Amino acid sequence: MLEIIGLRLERPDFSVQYDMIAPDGGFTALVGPSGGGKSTLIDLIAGFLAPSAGRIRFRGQDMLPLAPADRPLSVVFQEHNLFPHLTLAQNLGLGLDPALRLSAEQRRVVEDGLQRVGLDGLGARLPEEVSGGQRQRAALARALIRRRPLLLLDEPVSALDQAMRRDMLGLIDQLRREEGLTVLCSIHTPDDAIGIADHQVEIREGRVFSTKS
Amino acid sequence: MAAGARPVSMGWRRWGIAGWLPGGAAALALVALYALAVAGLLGVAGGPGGFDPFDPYVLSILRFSLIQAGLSTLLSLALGAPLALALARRQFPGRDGLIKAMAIGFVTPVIVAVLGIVAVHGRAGWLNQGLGLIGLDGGTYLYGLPGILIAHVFFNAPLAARIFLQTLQAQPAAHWRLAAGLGMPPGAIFRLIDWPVLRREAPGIAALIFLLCFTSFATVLTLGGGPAAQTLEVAIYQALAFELDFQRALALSAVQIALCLLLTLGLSAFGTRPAEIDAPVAEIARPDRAAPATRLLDGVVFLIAAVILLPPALAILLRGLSLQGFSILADPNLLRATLGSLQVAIPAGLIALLIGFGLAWTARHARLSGHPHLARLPALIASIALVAPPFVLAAGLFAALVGKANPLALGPVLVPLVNGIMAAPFVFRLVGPALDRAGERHDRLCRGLGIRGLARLIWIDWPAIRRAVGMGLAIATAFSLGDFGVIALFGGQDFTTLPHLVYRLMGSYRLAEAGSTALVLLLLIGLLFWLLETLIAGRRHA
Repeated sequence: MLEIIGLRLERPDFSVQYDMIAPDGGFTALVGPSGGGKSTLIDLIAGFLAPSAGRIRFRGQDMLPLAPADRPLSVVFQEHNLFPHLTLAQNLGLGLDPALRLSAEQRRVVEDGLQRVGLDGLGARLPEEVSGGQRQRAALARALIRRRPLLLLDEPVSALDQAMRRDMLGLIDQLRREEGLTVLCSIHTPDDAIGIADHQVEIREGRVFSTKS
Repeated sequence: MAAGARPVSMGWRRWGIAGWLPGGAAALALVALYALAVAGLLGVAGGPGGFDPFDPYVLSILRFSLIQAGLSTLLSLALGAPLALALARRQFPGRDGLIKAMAIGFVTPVIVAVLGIVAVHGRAGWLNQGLGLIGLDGGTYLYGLPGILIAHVFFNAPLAARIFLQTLQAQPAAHWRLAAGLGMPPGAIFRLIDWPVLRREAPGIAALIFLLCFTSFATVLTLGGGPAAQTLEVAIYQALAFELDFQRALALSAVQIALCLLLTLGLSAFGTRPAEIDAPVAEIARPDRAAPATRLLDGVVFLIAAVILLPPALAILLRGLSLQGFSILADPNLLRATLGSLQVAIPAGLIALLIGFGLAWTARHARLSGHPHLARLPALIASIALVAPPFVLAAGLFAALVGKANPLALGPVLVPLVNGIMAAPFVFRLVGPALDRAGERHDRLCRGLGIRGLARLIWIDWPAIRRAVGMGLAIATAFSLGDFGVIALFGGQDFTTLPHLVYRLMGSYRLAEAGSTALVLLLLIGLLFWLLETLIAGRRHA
């Protein structure tokens, strides 16, 4: 279970406070207007922002003292998940060794990862040489091979067209079931998540506005 | 009805002329002036011929020019790149001031910097004095290649650092979020994120620095120390001023232009940029700041840079403030030189603005009206001014006009003209991108509403480009204020400028007075920047 307790961040122009839980192994959708504070919540959980007060616990472990890379989670953003000058395979490889010195075994894991998201054979391409949907799949594959139990997704499908949005969310859901991941995913158009998300948390003006299961 | 259609077509034609005329006129004027200059020199030289480009003398100059420029470039990049990385990684009080100070270096007159370098590295300079305290003697090491390299690194390492730093800081925030999220160690961040950026930018920066050093004049004339250490530019000056060998001057110029153009074209093929990422620039801190290894490394880099760059800068100020030097304030030469400098720099700045803006305006018009290949022409013409030796232009025009006008009156006309042409590329480079951005953003709207010509310039473009115009005018004028170039050909008792006076005072070993004169020059440049920033760029001082 992911627990967010009294998590606050104060800035001169805005302030947020979050209290919520996301059940283990579930697909929790974060919905609400843009600018409402969904991305801020994800940045706080991932450790890119430091809160002024509050706690973040995952399976009973306090995550705040940990550096972003040491937290038991992976993050996929709306875009710019990949370094534009590295190939898809290299970008995936960074998930296994952030200094990108890969053993033969790790290269095989990368190939496997590409295959699981339907990108087999495209490992040598640069991000600009594949479609936006394929880039997002590559980012998902990297999150997968890092084998972290919590998967945060910040508007992962907002840059895609409608058919691809359904496909991508379906793929995320399928991988969640296969790997037993806990998924927290912000979504711009809640309709996309119907039938996929089993929990829904609405965030407005930096607060948790409502929750649905 | 025909009468109804006429105004429209006339309007389009007018817009066409307003688009093509400024750049066309500027280009035509430049071409005509260069042609007149070459004809003038050929006239006094008695026609072309009799020049052997493989003459050992020419080859030795060429070899030295290439070696010193190559070494200067290497050393400047070797210091500039680590300095940029260290500045990108660190936040400390005074960091912004330091970066601004590095920008000032670009408009510091060469002759002033040379003065500071002599004060530190000369025979009786700080370094030798310091060594003397512990019973050592550094000897005379300054004049020749070492002095030229010290001066070129002093100017160009900060320039390289500034350009590298801009691109390093333009990395999207997403990169640092990814690096932090994945836990990339500092070595990997350098290898996978910073190095590709440095490698991408290096050819362009190297080409710029190489060109500046290859065509270096004032530095090499003052610190070269003799015929063994010459650049083509100095050799051209000497052929014109002392040997009166106009054929040789022309031939050397042809060699210089050909080599520089070759280099520019060759390197522009290299420097292909990848698709720019349009993403928010990093506000997230780089994750490699805390590591002890990078802290140590950055400290060492700052120390080395400080040891090389700070003493000459300090020496300029201290020299300028010496009591002995203030005697120059009573010297009528100082007033004459100050007026002479203004008389050169103000028209030169305006000429540079006219040419640079005209070329940039027409280049944009060509691009927007569907002739992108024509848009390259103004850029090429602007860059010729960068590589063509100013001495040939000045001497050639002098030769062409000397029979038709009072020779003494020609200097005060030709020096501002040539300085203005030399400074035009700065205006072009600064105003061009601003004009292009305003064009791309508003072109469809302007065409839809029928806003064109002067109205478009005043209402749509001016607000977007005034900062760039102010900066371009300031840099062009400052460059002309501080330039010690063609004034070396025309300067004398009656017509002199501040850099020329500094040079003459240095030549007669009146270093204290030279220092005070240099300080007056720096104050004038500072005043000019302040004025132009307040008036044109519209910066409000609180």
